[in-house]
Amino acid sequence: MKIQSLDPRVSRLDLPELHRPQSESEQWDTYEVFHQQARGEQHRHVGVVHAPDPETAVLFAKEQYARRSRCVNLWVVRTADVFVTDYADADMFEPAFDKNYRESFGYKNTRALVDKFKAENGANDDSNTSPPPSSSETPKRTKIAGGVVVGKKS
Amino acid sequence: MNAVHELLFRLADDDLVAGHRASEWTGLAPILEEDIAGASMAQDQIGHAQSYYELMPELGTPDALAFGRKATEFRNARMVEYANTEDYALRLVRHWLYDTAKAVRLKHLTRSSHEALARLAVRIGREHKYHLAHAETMITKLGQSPANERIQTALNQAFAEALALFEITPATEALVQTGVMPHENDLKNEWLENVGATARKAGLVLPENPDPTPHLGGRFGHHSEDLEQLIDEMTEVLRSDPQAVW
Repeated sequence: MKIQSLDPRVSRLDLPELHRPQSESEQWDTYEVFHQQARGEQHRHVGVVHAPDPETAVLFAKEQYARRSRCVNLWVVRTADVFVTDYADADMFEPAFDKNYRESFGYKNTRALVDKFKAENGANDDSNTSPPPSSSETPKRTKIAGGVVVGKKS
Repeated sequence: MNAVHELLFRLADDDLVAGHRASEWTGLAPILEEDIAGASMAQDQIGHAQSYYELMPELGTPDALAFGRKATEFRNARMVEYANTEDYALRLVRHWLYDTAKAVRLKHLTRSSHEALARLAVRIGREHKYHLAHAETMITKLGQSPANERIQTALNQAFAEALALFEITPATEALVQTGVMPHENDLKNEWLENVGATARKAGLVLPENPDPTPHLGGRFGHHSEDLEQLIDEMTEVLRSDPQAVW
């Protein structure tokens, strides 16, 4: 029996209809894939590919995970090489007592506090660092390509 | 047909037909990841063909040129039109031989006197870098594995086919004279070096005295029946309703 399919490409191949057991060489390792969207940024875990070796894993990872979004660099790591904790020990991550002072939520408010302080004291970033303004001085003008004139307000 | 049009049709038709044949493996490649990579490269290739057709707006839209011509008007090499078999080794070897030739051609086209084509070659070259890396990695890895014999058998068949990619036509000399592209023989020699280097790494042997004669003719519009079948299938949806707006 040959495989007959609605898909002409399949029928054309004259494939024998049989199920064979997979050989061991078809059982490949998995590799964890990390991609980096721009230089200097962290590599982020994006998924897994099956591959027989790291070079092939990179080939596959590129089309699986770097095809739809910006990517400048890929890492692949054999899953078996990742040292992991045991879920049975998950309780060690649970604090026995309230330690919310270790959480960093306090910083969330910092920007708002800085802005509030500035508003109350009439200060702004420029006046602290620039020399005092002089009315006789004309603003510095710099011409850049394209004919746009930019000047520093004083 | 002037020499530049002939060249553009060769480039475009090679990629369109090769891309279509590659797309036939979608859903059938041996592993999921390879299937996705293959489908994606096929799509890229058809995009390359489209951008070459776009350099000839005076002859028609890319769709009209891709789907509106008879087999005898196609200028692709026969190698890319040959029907797929169930042998993935043959598919990979053709992919490797063709994409190595394409890389050599693109490298020289970036310095072409035809400025629009030179710019396009730079853009396509970026994408093609991965295609070539895919082919060379697969061939090297498989060549060094117990699959070596299967790859070698496929190479024994496909090598002569691939030599016909460099078929010489009356336009060849004109393209050299006007600085559009180097001579096919020079491209072929560079291709032989590159293919030879990968073959050595993979433990493969390039066949001695291959005869490309049965595979010649594509550049003149003389094709095998396989191309008719391909065009029929490729244009089937379009023919079902030529006025449809997509």
